Amino acid sequence: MNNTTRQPVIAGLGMTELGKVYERTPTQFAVQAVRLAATDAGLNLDDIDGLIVSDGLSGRVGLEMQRALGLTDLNLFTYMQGYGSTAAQMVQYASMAVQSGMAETIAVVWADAPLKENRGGGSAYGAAAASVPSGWQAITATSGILTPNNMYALAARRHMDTYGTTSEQLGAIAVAQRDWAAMNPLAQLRGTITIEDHQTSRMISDPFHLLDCCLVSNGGIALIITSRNRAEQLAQPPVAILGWAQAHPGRTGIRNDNFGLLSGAARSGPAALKMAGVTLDEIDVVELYDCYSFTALITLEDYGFCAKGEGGDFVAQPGVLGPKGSLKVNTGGGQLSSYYMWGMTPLSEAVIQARGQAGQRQVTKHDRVLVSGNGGILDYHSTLVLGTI
Amino acid sequence: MAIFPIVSDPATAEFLSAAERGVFLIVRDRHTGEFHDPTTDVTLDPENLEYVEASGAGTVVSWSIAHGRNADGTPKETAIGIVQLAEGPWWRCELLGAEPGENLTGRSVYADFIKTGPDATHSTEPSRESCRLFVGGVVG
Repeated sequence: MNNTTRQPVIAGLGMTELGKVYERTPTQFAVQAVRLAATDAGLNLDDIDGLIVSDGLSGRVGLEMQRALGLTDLNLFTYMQGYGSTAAQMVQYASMAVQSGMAETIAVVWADAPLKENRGGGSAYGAAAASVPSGWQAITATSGILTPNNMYALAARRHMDTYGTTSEQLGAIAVAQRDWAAMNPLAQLRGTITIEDHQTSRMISDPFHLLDCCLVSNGGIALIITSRNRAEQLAQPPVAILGWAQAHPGRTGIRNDNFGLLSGAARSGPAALKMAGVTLDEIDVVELYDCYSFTALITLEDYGFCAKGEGGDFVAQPGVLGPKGSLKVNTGGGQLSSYYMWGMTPLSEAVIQARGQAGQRQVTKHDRVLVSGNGGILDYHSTLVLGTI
Repeated sequence: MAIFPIVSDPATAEFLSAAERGVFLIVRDRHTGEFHDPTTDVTLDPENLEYVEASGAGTVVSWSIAHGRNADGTPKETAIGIVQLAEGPWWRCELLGAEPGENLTGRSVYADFIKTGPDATHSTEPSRESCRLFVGGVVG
Protein backbone atom coordinates (compact mmCIF):
# COMPACT_ATOMS: atom_id res chain seq x y z
CA MET A 1 0.00 0.00 0.00
CA ASN A 2 1.62 3.26 -1.13
CA ASN A 3 -0.03 5.74 1.20
CA THR A 4 1.04 4.35 4.56
CA THR A 5 -0.50 7.20 6.54
CA ARG A 6 -3.97 6.20 5.27
CA GLN A 7 -3.29 2.47 5.57
CA PRO A 8 -6.22 0.97 7.48
CA VAL A 9 -5.44 -0.78 10.71
CA ILE A 10 -7.32 -2.39 13.57
CA ALA A 11 -6.65 -0.29 16.64
CA GLY A 12 -9.20 -1.60 19.11
CA LEU A 13 -10.89 -4.86 20.08
CA GLY A 14 -13.87 -5.12 22.43
CA MET A 15 -15.33 -8.44 23.52
CA THR A 16 -18.21 -8.81 25.94
CA GLU A 17 -18.74 -11.88 28.06
CA LEU A 18 -19.36 -14.67 25.58
CA GLY A 19 -21.34 -17.88 25.75
CA LYS A 20 -24.14 -18.64 28.16
CA VAL A 21 -24.74 -15.04 29.12
CA TYR A 22 -28.46 -14.43 29.47
CA GLU A 23 -30.91 -11.59 29.90
CA ARG A 24 -29.19 -9.17 27.58
CA THR A 25 -30.37 -8.10 24.16
CA PRO A 26 -28.13 -8.10 21.09
CA THR A 27 -28.17 -4.29 21.15
CA GLN A 28 -27.00 -4.26 24.76
CA PHE A 29 -24.13 -6.60 23.87
CA ALA A 30 -23.28 -4.44 20.85
CA VAL A 31 -23.18 -1.21 22.84
CA GLN A 32 -20.95 -2.77 25.46
CA ALA A 33 -18.63 -4.20 22.80
CA VAL A 34 -18.16 -0.81 21.12
CA ARG A 35 -17.40 0.84 24.47
CA LEU A 36 -14.86 -1.87 25.26
CA ALA A 37 -13.24 -1.53 21.85
CA ALA A 38 -12.91 2.24 22.21
CA THR A 39 -11.40 1.88 25.66
CA ASP A 40 -9.05 -0.82 24.38
CA ALA A 41 -7.83 1.56 21.68
CA GLY A 42 -7.43 4.43 24.12
CA LEU A 43 -10.25 6.41 22.55
CA ASN A 44 -13.40 8.09 23.75
CA LEU A 45 -16.72 7.26 22.15
CA ASP A 46 -16.91 10.75 20.66
CA ASP A 47 -13.70 10.03 18.73
CA ILE A 48 -15.73 7.63 16.59
CA ASP A 49 -16.99 9.11 13.32
CA GLY A 50 -18.08 5.90 11.61
CA LEU A 51 -20.24 3.01 12.75
CA ILE A 52 -21.06 -0.26 10.96
CA VAL A 53 -23.41 -2.66 12.72
CA SER A 54 -24.56 -6.22 12.17
CA ASP A 55 -26.17 -9.09 14.01
CA GLY A 56 -27.13 -12.74 14.02
CA LEU A 57 -30.62 -14.10 13.76
CA SER A 58 -31.94 -13.56 17.25
CA GLY A 59 -32.78 -9.88 17.07
CA ARG A 60 -31.85 -6.79 15.18
CA VAL A 61 -28.83 -4.68 16.01
CA GLY A 62 -29.84 -1.82 13.77
CA LEU A 63 -29.70 1.86 13.28
CA GLU A 64 -30.80 2.48 16.86
CA MET A 65 -27.14 1.94 17.71
CA GLN A 66 -26.15 5.54 16.97
CA ARG A 67 -28.57 6.84 19.54
CA ALA A 68 -27.78 4.03 21.98
CA LEU A 69 -24.12 5.01 21.88
CA GLY A 70 -24.87 8.74 21.87
CA LEU A 71 -22.87 9.27 18.70
CA THR A 72 -23.48 12.44 16.69
CA ASP A 73 -22.29 13.77 13.34
CA LEU A 74 -21.14 10.41 12.00
CA ASN A 75 -19.50 10.38 8.57
CA LEU A 76 -20.36 6.73 7.93
CA PHE A 77 -23.19 4.68 9.38
CA THR A 78 -24.86 1.55 8.08
CA TYR A 79 -26.12 -1.96 8.76
CA MET A 80 -24.54 -4.83 6.83
CA GLN A 81 -25.49 -8.48 6.40
CA GLY A 82 -23.63 -11.22 4.58
CA TYR A 83 -24.18 -13.84 7.27
CA GLY A 84 -20.88 -15.43 8.29
CA SER A 85 -18.96 -13.31 5.81
CA THR A 86 -20.21 -10.08 7.40
CA ALA A 87 -17.47 -9.39 9.94
CA ALA A 88 -14.69 -9.33 7.35
CA GLN A 89 -16.95 -7.41 4.96
CA MET A 90 -17.49 -4.72 7.59
CA VAL A 91 -13.73 -4.42 8.06
CA GLN A 92 -13.33 -4.12 4.28
CA TYR A 93 -15.88 -1.31 4.02
CA ALA A 94 -14.32 0.49 6.97
CA SER A 95 -10.87 0.07 5.45
CA MET A 96 -11.95 1.65 2.17
CA ALA A 97 -13.57 4.51 4.09
CA VAL A 98 -10.33 5.12 5.98
CA GLN A 99 -8.28 4.95 2.78
CA SER A 100 -10.50 7.47 1.04
CA GLY A 101 -10.71 9.82 4.00
CA MET A 102 -14.48 9.37 4.19
CA ALA A 103 -14.17 8.58 7.90
CA GLU A 104 -11.27 8.46 10.32
CA THR A 105 -12.23 6.21 13.22
CA ILE A 106 -14.83 3.55 12.57
CA ALA A 107 -16.38 1.09 14.98
CA VAL A 108 -17.62 -2.18 13.50
CA VAL A 109 -19.73 -4.34 15.75
CA TRP A 110 -21.59 -7.66 15.66
CA ALA A 111 -23.76 -9.12 18.40
CA ASP A 112 -26.28 -11.90 18.91
CA ALA A 113 -28.20 -13.52 21.73
CA PRO A 114 -29.80 -16.72 20.41
CA LEU A 115 -29.28 -18.75 23.58
CA LYS A 116 -32.16 -18.77 26.01
CA GLU A 117 -31.88 -20.12 29.53
CA ASN A 118 -33.16 -23.69 29.87
CA ARG A 119 -33.38 -24.11 26.11
CA GLY A 120 -30.93 -26.18 24.10
CA GLY A 121 -28.52 -24.54 21.71
CA GLY A 122 -29.76 -26.76 18.90
CA SER A 123 -33.07 -24.96 18.82
CA ALA A 124 -31.50 -21.54 18.43
CA TYR A 125 -30.97 -21.56 14.68
CA GLY A 126 -32.82 -22.59 11.58
CA ALA A 127 -36.41 -23.13 10.65
CA ALA A 128 -37.01 -24.90 13.93
CA ALA A 129 -36.47 -21.60 15.72
CA ALA A 130 -39.22 -19.87 13.78
CA SER A 131 -42.75 -20.40 15.08
CA VAL A 132 -44.27 -21.00 11.64
CA PRO A 133 -41.93 -20.97 8.64
CA SER A 134 -43.64 -19.75 5.51
CA GLY A 135 -43.20 -19.88 1.75
CA TRP A 136 -40.44 -21.95 0.22
CA GLN A 137 -38.70 -22.15 3.59
CA ALA A 138 -41.72 -23.98 4.96
CA ILE A 139 -41.71 -26.44 2.09
CA THR A 140 -38.06 -27.26 2.72
CA ALA A 141 -38.64 -27.44 6.47
CA THR A 142 -41.48 -29.92 6.17
CA SER A 143 -39.00 -32.20 4.42
CA GLY A 144 -37.02 -32.44 7.64
CA ILE A 145 -34.36 -30.00 6.42
CA LEU A 146 -34.69 -27.73 9.41
CA THR A 147 -31.32 -26.21 10.19
CA PRO A 148 -27.95 -25.38 8.63
CA ASN A 149 -26.77 -28.64 10.24
CA ASN A 150 -28.71 -30.53 7.58
CA MET A 151 -27.53 -28.46 4.62
CA TYR A 152 -23.88 -28.49 5.64
CA ALA A 153 -24.17 -32.24 6.21
CA LEU A 154 -25.35 -32.58 2.60
CA ALA A 155 -22.35 -30.54 1.49
CA ALA A 156 -19.94 -32.65 3.54
CA ARG A 157 -21.46 -35.91 2.30
CA ARG A 158 -20.91 -34.82 -1.29
CA HIS A 159 -17.26 -34.05 -0.55
CA MET A 160 -16.88 -37.44 1.14
CA ASP A 161 -18.46 -39.30 -1.76
CA THR A 162 -16.42 -37.42 -4.33
CA TYR A 163 -13.01 -37.38 -2.68
CA GLY A 164 -13.10 -40.11 -0.06
CA THR A 165 -13.03 -37.73 2.89
CA THR A 166 -13.89 -39.55 6.13
CA SER A 167 -15.61 -38.69 9.38
CA GLU A 168 -12.41 -39.47 11.28
CA GLN A 169 -10.58 -36.89 9.17
CA LEU A 170 -13.21 -34.30 10.08
CA GLY A 171 -12.67 -35.37 13.66
CA ALA A 172 -8.99 -34.50 13.40
CA ILE A 173 -9.99 -30.86 12.97
CA ALA A 174 -12.25 -30.94 16.03
CA VAL A 175 -9.55 -32.58 18.16
CA ALA A 176 -6.82 -30.14 17.06
CA GLN A 177 -8.99 -27.12 17.71
CA ARG A 178 -9.93 -28.35 21.17
CA ASP A 179 -6.22 -28.60 21.95
CA TRP A 180 -5.94 -24.91 21.11
CA ALA A 181 -9.09 -24.08 23.09
CA ALA A 182 -7.58 -25.72 26.16
CA MET A 183 -5.21 -22.74 26.27
CA ASN A 184 -7.86 -20.09 25.66
CA PRO A 185 -9.51 -18.72 28.80
CA LEU A 186 -12.35 -17.34 26.65
CA ALA A 187 -13.24 -20.74 25.21
CA GLN A 188 -16.53 -22.30 26.21
CA LEU A 189 -15.15 -25.85 25.81
CA ARG A 190 -11.62 -26.47 27.07
CA GLY A 191 -11.49 -30.18 27.93
CA THR A 192 -9.35 -32.08 25.46
CA ILE A 193 -11.02 -34.67 23.23
CA THR A 194 -9.92 -37.65 21.14
CA ILE A 195 -10.99 -39.01 17.77
CA GLU A 196 -12.91 -41.67 19.69
CA ASP A 197 -14.78 -38.93 21.58
CA HIS A 198 -15.61 -37.40 18.22
CA GLN A 199 -16.80 -40.67 16.76
CA THR A 200 -18.96 -41.52 19.75
CA SER A 201 -20.50 -38.09 20.16
CA ARG A 202 -24.15 -38.18 19.20
CA MET A 203 -25.11 -37.95 15.58
CA ILE A 204 -26.70 -34.64 14.57
CA SER A 205 -27.11 -34.97 10.83
CA ASP A 206 -25.09 -37.76 9.29
CA PRO A 207 -22.13 -37.44 8.68
CA PHE A 208 -21.94 -34.76 11.38
CA HIS A 209 -21.51 -35.77 14.98
CA LEU A 210 -22.04 -33.24 17.74
CA LEU A 211 -18.30 -32.49 17.80
CA ASP A 212 -18.38 -31.49 14.13
CA CYS A 213 -20.77 -28.64 14.92
CA CYS A 214 -20.14 -25.15 16.25
CA LEU A 215 -21.24 -23.83 19.57
CA VAL A 216 -24.07 -21.39 20.08
CA SER A 217 -23.10 -18.28 22.01
CA ASN A 218 -24.48 -14.97 23.21
CA GLY A 219 -22.33 -11.85 23.16
CA GLY A 220 -20.86 -9.08 21.08
CA ILE A 221 -17.50 -8.16 19.54
CA ALA A 222 -16.40 -4.81 18.13
CA LEU A 223 -13.32 -3.49 16.38
CA ILE A 224 -12.00 0.02 15.85
CA ILE A 225 -10.65 0.65 12.34
CA THR A 226 -8.55 3.75 11.76
CA SER A 227 -5.52 4.93 9.84
CA ARG A 228 -2.04 3.72 10.65
CA ASN A 229 -1.00 7.30 11.24
CA ARG A 230 -3.59 7.76 13.94
CA ALA A 231 -3.23 4.29 15.42
CA GLU A 232 0.44 4.86 16.16
CA GLN A 233 -0.67 7.39 18.78
CA LEU A 234 -3.11 4.97 20.42
CA ALA A 235 -2.95 2.31 23.11
CA GLN A 236 -2.57 -0.97 21.21
CA PRO A 237 -0.13 -2.31 18.64
CA PRO A 238 -1.87 -1.63 15.31
CA VAL A 239 -2.87 -4.61 13.20
CA ALA A 240 -2.52 -3.76 9.53
CA ILE A 241 -5.31 -4.64 7.14
CA LEU A 242 -3.16 -5.60 4.19
CA GLY A 243 -5.49 -7.33 1.79
CA TRP A 244 -9.13 -8.23 1.31
CA ALA A 245 -11.55 -9.79 -1.11
CA GLN A 246 -14.98 -11.35 -1.39
CA ALA A 247 -16.42 -14.14 -3.53
CA HIS A 248 -20.05 -15.17 -3.64
CA PRO A 249 -20.55 -18.19 -5.91
CA GLY A 250 -24.29 -17.72 -6.55
CA ARG A 251 -25.18 -21.37 -6.70
CA THR A 252 -27.33 -22.41 -9.59
CA GLY A 253 -28.96 -25.38 -7.88
CA ILE A 254 -28.76 -27.24 -11.14
CA ARG A 255 -26.61 -29.96 -12.67
CA ASN A 256 -22.87 -29.26 -12.45
CA ASP A 257 -23.36 -27.14 -9.32
CA ASN A 258 -20.18 -27.59 -7.26
CA PHE A 259 -22.01 -27.37 -3.91
CA GLY A 260 -19.92 -29.11 -1.26
CA LEU A 261 -16.92 -29.32 -3.54
CA LEU A 262 -15.77 -25.72 -3.94
CA SER A 263 -16.36 -22.57 -1.87
CA GLY A 264 -15.88 -18.85 -2.44
CA ALA A 265 -12.54 -19.15 -0.64
CA ALA A 266 -11.03 -20.40 -3.91
CA ARG A 267 -11.41 -16.93 -5.43
CA SER A 268 -11.38 -14.59 -2.45
CA GLY A 269 -8.27 -16.12 -0.87
CA PRO A 270 -5.87 -15.63 -3.79
CA ALA A 271 -7.34 -12.17 -4.46
CA ALA A 272 -6.77 -11.03 -0.88
CA LEU A 273 -3.24 -12.46 -0.83
CA LYS A 274 -2.44 -10.72 -4.08
CA MET A 275 -3.67 -7.40 -2.73
CA ALA A 276 -1.52 -7.87 0.36
CA GLY A 277 1.51 -8.87 -1.69
CA VAL A 278 1.78 -12.03 0.35
CA THR A 279 2.11 -15.65 -0.74
CA LEU A 280 0.46 -18.54 1.03
CA ASP A 281 3.75 -19.83 2.43
CA GLU A 282 4.28 -16.47 4.12
CA ILE A 283 1.11 -16.87 6.19
CA ASP A 284 1.94 -17.55 9.84
CA VAL A 285 -1.54 -17.96 11.34
CA VAL A 286 -4.81 -19.08 9.75
CA GLU A 287 -8.12 -18.19 11.38
CA LEU A 288 -10.94 -19.95 9.56
CA TYR A 289 -14.69 -19.71 9.77
CA ASP A 290 -15.55 -23.18 11.10
CA CYS A 291 -19.27 -23.43 11.66
CA TYR A 292 -18.59 -27.11 11.01
CA SER A 293 -15.37 -29.11 10.88
CA PHE A 294 -16.06 -29.54 7.18
CA THR A 295 -16.14 -25.77 6.61
CA ALA A 296 -12.58 -25.53 7.89
CA LEU A 297 -11.51 -28.44 5.68
CA ILE A 298 -12.96 -27.08 2.44
CA THR A 299 -11.57 -23.62 3.17
CA LEU A 300 -8.07 -25.03 3.66
CA GLU A 301 -8.39 -26.75 0.28
CA ASP A 302 -9.77 -23.70 -1.47
CA TYR A 303 -7.14 -21.37 -0.04
CA GLY A 304 -4.57 -23.77 -1.48
CA PHE A 305 -2.95 -25.22 1.64
CA CYS A 306 -3.47 -28.61 0.00
CA ALA A 307 -4.77 -29.86 -3.33
CA LYS A 308 -8.50 -30.02 -4.00
CA GLY A 309 -9.90 -33.22 -2.60
CA GLU A 310 -6.89 -33.90 -0.38
CA GLY A 311 -8.13 -31.92 2.60
CA GLY A 312 -9.05 -35.03 4.55
CA ASP A 313 -5.60 -36.59 4.29
CA PHE A 314 -4.01 -33.21 4.93
CA VAL A 315 -5.76 -32.40 8.22
CA ALA A 316 -5.40 -35.95 9.56
CA GLN A 317 -1.68 -36.09 8.83
CA PRO A 318 0.21 -36.06 12.15
CA GLY A 319 2.08 -32.84 12.79
CA VAL A 320 -0.07 -30.56 10.62
CA LEU A 321 -2.80 -29.19 12.89
CA GLY A 322 -2.90 -28.38 16.60
CA PRO A 323 -0.60 -26.33 18.81
CA LYS A 324 2.43 -28.42 17.86
CA GLY A 325 1.49 -28.63 14.20
CA SER A 326 3.21 -26.96 11.28
CA LEU A 327 0.09 -24.99 10.30
CA LYS A 328 -1.37 -22.77 13.02
CA VAL A 329 -5.11 -22.97 12.37
CA ASN A 330 -7.90 -21.64 14.58
CA THR A 331 -5.61 -20.96 17.47
CA GLY A 332 -8.35 -20.00 19.90
CA GLY A 333 -10.34 -23.17 19.34
CA GLY A 334 -12.55 -21.71 16.63
CA GLN A 335 -16.30 -21.81 16.56
CA LEU A 336 -16.18 -25.51 17.37
CA SER A 337 -14.68 -24.96 20.82
CA SER A 338 -14.26 -21.30 21.78
CA TYR A 339 -17.28 -19.12 20.99
CA TYR A 340 -19.65 -18.62 18.07
CA MET A 341 -19.73 -14.97 17.12
CA TRP A 342 -20.08 -15.72 13.42
CA GLY A 343 -17.24 -14.01 11.48
CA MET A 344 -16.05 -12.21 14.58
CA THR A 345 -14.74 -15.50 16.00
CA PRO A 346 -11.83 -15.93 13.55
CA LEU A 347 -11.38 -12.17 13.29
CA SER A 348 -11.05 -11.54 17.01
CA GLU A 349 -8.54 -14.37 17.43
CA ALA A 350 -6.59 -13.03 14.45
CA VAL A 351 -6.29 -9.63 16.12
CA ILE A 352 -5.25 -11.18 19.43
CA GLN A 353 -2.58 -13.30 17.71
CA ALA A 354 -1.29 -10.49 15.48
CA ARG A 355 -0.92 -8.25 18.53
CA GLY A 356 1.00 -10.96 20.33
CA GLN A 357 -1.51 -11.02 23.19
CA ALA A 358 -2.65 -14.65 23.08
CA GLY A 359 -0.80 -15.73 26.20
CA GLN A 360 -0.14 -19.45 26.46
CA ARG A 361 -1.43 -20.10 22.95
CA GLN A 362 0.50 -17.28 21.30
CA VAL A 363 2.04 -18.32 18.01
CA THR A 364 5.70 -17.34 17.92
CA LYS A 365 5.70 -15.97 14.39
CA HIS A 366 2.54 -13.97 13.80
CA ASP A 367 3.40 -11.36 11.20
CA ARG A 368 0.83 -12.44 8.61
CA VAL A 369 -2.61 -13.75 9.50
CA LEU A 370 -5.19 -15.08 7.03
CA VAL A 371 -8.84 -14.76 8.09
CA SER A 372 -11.90 -16.25 6.43
CA GLY A 373 -15.60 -15.48 6.65
CA ASN A 374 -18.19 -17.87 5.30
CA GLY A 375 -21.91 -17.24 5.08
CA GLY A 376 -25.08 -19.06 4.14
CA ILE A 377 -24.45 -22.63 3.08
CA LEU A 378 -21.07 -21.94 1.46
CA ASP A 379 -22.83 -19.10 -0.39
CA TYR A 380 -20.86 -16.02 0.70
CA HIS A 381 -17.15 -15.63 1.36
CA SER A 382 -14.82 -12.92 2.54
CA THR A 383 -11.09 -12.96 3.23
CA LEU A 384 -8.74 -10.66 5.10
CA VAL A 385 -4.96 -10.64 5.29
CA LEU A 386 -3.82 -8.96 8.50
CA GLY A 387 -0.34 -8.25 9.72
CA THR A 388 1.99 -6.62 12.12
CA ILE A 389 3.56 -3.29 11.22
CA MET B 1 -45.31 -37.57 8.25
CA ALA B 2 -45.21 -33.84 7.74
CA ILE B 3 -43.60 -31.94 10.60
CA PHE B 4 -46.23 -29.22 10.41
CA PRO B 5 -48.96 -28.28 7.95
CA ILE B 6 -48.16 -25.50 5.54
CA VAL B 7 -50.37 -22.97 3.81
CA SER B 8 -49.53 -21.57 0.40
CA ASP B 9 -48.50 -17.95 -0.04
CA PRO B 10 -48.24 -15.85 -3.21
CA ALA B 11 -44.73 -17.13 -3.94
CA THR B 12 -45.67 -20.79 -3.66
CA ALA B 13 -49.37 -20.77 -4.67
CA GLU B 14 -48.98 -21.98 -8.26
CA PHE B 15 -46.48 -24.64 -7.32
CA LEU B 16 -48.60 -25.96 -4.46
CA SER B 17 -51.77 -25.82 -6.51
CA ALA B 18 -50.13 -28.09 -9.07
CA ALA B 19 -48.86 -30.37 -6.30
CA GLU B 20 -52.48 -30.72 -5.18
CA ARG B 21 -53.12 -32.28 -8.59
CA GLY B 22 -50.03 -34.51 -8.33
CA VAL B 23 -48.02 -32.36 -10.72
CA PHE B 24 -44.43 -31.29 -9.98
CA LEU B 25 -43.71 -27.89 -11.53
CA ILE B 26 -40.31 -26.55 -12.44
CA VAL B 27 -39.38 -23.35 -14.25
CA ARG B 28 -38.29 -23.18 -17.88
CA ASP B 29 -36.79 -20.39 -19.91
CA ARG B 30 -38.92 -20.20 -23.05
CA HIS B 31 -36.07 -18.95 -25.18
CA THR B 32 -33.09 -21.00 -24.03
CA GLY B 33 -35.03 -24.09 -23.01
CA GLU B 34 -33.03 -24.14 -19.77
CA PHE B 35 -34.78 -25.46 -16.68
CA HIS B 36 -34.59 -23.84 -13.23
CA ASP B 37 -35.67 -25.05 -9.83
CA PRO B 38 -39.25 -24.33 -8.75
CA THR B 39 -38.27 -21.59 -6.31
CA THR B 40 -37.23 -19.35 -9.23
CA ASP B 41 -39.63 -16.40 -9.22
CA VAL B 42 -41.25 -16.40 -12.66
CA THR B 43 -42.87 -13.02 -12.00
CA LEU B 44 -39.45 -11.35 -12.19
CA ASP B 45 -39.10 -12.27 -15.87
CA PRO B 46 -42.54 -13.28 -17.16
CA GLU B 47 -41.49 -12.80 -20.78
CA ASN B 48 -38.99 -15.62 -20.50
CA LEU B 49 -39.85 -17.77 -17.51
CA GLU B 50 -42.77 -20.14 -17.18
CA TYR B 51 -43.81 -23.06 -15.04
CA VAL B 52 -43.80 -26.42 -16.81
CA GLU B 53 -44.50 -29.92 -15.63
CA ALA B 54 -41.47 -31.95 -14.60
CA SER B 55 -41.17 -35.68 -15.05
CA GLY B 56 -40.78 -36.14 -11.31
CA ALA B 57 -37.84 -38.48 -11.80
CA GLY B 58 -34.46 -37.73 -10.32
CA THR B 59 -31.15 -38.92 -8.89
CA VAL B 60 -29.77 -38.40 -5.39
CA VAL B 61 -26.83 -35.93 -5.41
CA SER B 62 -26.21 -36.00 -1.67
CA TRP B 63 -28.01 -37.20 1.43
CA SER B 64 -28.00 -37.11 5.21
CA ILE B 65 -29.80 -38.76 8.07
CA ALA B 66 -31.16 -36.00 10.28
CA HIS B 67 -31.41 -37.08 13.90
CA GLY B 68 -34.16 -35.51 15.95
CA ARG B 69 -37.05 -36.32 18.22
CA ASN B 70 -40.74 -36.86 17.76
CA ALA B 71 -43.24 -34.83 19.73
CA ASP B 72 -43.36 -37.60 22.37
CA GLY B 73 -39.58 -37.43 22.82
CA THR B 74 -38.74 -40.65 21.04
CA PRO B 75 -35.77 -40.56 18.64
CA LYS B 76 -36.50 -39.91 14.99
CA GLU B 77 -34.26 -40.36 11.97
CA THR B 78 -35.17 -38.67 8.71
CA ALA B 79 -33.41 -39.35 5.42
CA ILE B 80 -33.04 -36.09 3.53
CA GLY B 81 -31.32 -35.27 0.31
CA ILE B 82 -30.57 -33.14 -2.69
CA VAL B 83 -32.10 -34.68 -5.78
CA GLN B 84 -31.15 -33.72 -9.31
CA LEU B 85 -34.34 -33.82 -11.31
CA ALA B 86 -34.16 -35.40 -14.74
CA GLU B 87 -34.47 -31.93 -16.26
CA GLY B 88 -31.40 -30.71 -14.33
CA PRO B 89 -32.59 -28.56 -11.41
CA TRP B 90 -31.92 -29.65 -7.86
CA TRP B 91 -34.63 -30.21 -5.25
CA ARG B 92 -34.20 -30.69 -1.51
CA CYS B 93 -36.52 -33.24 0.03
CA GLU B 94 -37.05 -36.20 2.29
CA LEU B 95 -36.04 -39.58 0.93
CA LEU B 96 -38.35 -42.45 1.71
CA GLY B 97 -37.64 -46.11 1.40
CA ALA B 98 -33.98 -45.96 2.30
CA GLU B 99 -32.51 -48.91 4.14
CA PRO B 100 -30.51 -47.98 7.27
CA GLY B 101 -26.84 -47.58 6.51
CA GLU B 102 -27.09 -47.64 2.73
CA ASN B 103 -25.29 -45.08 0.60
CA LEU B 104 -27.99 -43.21 -1.25
CA THR B 105 -25.80 -41.16 -3.56
CA GLY B 106 -26.70 -41.83 -7.17
CA ARG B 107 -29.92 -43.67 -6.39
CA SER B 108 -32.95 -43.06 -8.60
CA VAL B 109 -36.02 -41.46 -7.05
CA TYR B 110 -39.39 -40.20 -8.17
CA ALA B 111 -41.68 -37.54 -6.80
CA ASP B 112 -44.58 -38.41 -4.56
CA PHE B 113 -47.06 -36.13 -2.85
CA ILE B 114 -48.83 -35.94 0.48
CA LYS B 115 -51.22 -33.51 2.08
CA THR B 116 -49.43 -31.65 4.85
CA GLY B 117 -52.40 -31.08 7.13
CA PRO B 118 -56.05 -31.97 7.64
CA ASP B 119 -57.59 -28.61 6.82
CA ALA B 120 -58.75 -27.56 3.39
CA THR B 121 -56.26 -24.70 3.50
CA HIS B 122 -53.33 -27.03 4.14
CA SER B 123 -51.39 -27.59 0.96
CA THR B 124 -50.24 -30.69 -0.69
CA GLU B 125 -46.57 -30.40 -1.42
CA PRO B 126 -43.93 -32.60 -2.93
CA SER B 127 -40.99 -31.83 -0.71
CA ARG B 128 -41.96 -33.70 2.39
CA GLU B 129 -42.41 -37.20 1.06
CA SER B 130 -41.84 -36.38 -2.54
CA CYS B 131 -38.84 -38.42 -3.44
CA ARG B 132 -39.59 -42.03 -2.84
CA LEU B 133 -36.61 -44.21 -3.41
CA PHE B 134 -36.25 -46.86 -6.05
CA VAL B 135 -34.65 -49.72 -4.19
CA GLY B 136 -32.75 -52.08 -6.45
CA GLY B 137 -34.55 -50.64 -9.44
CA VAL B 138 -37.96 -51.43 -8.02
CA VAL B 139 -40.31 -48.58 -7.31
CA GLY B 140 -40.51 -48.23 -3.56
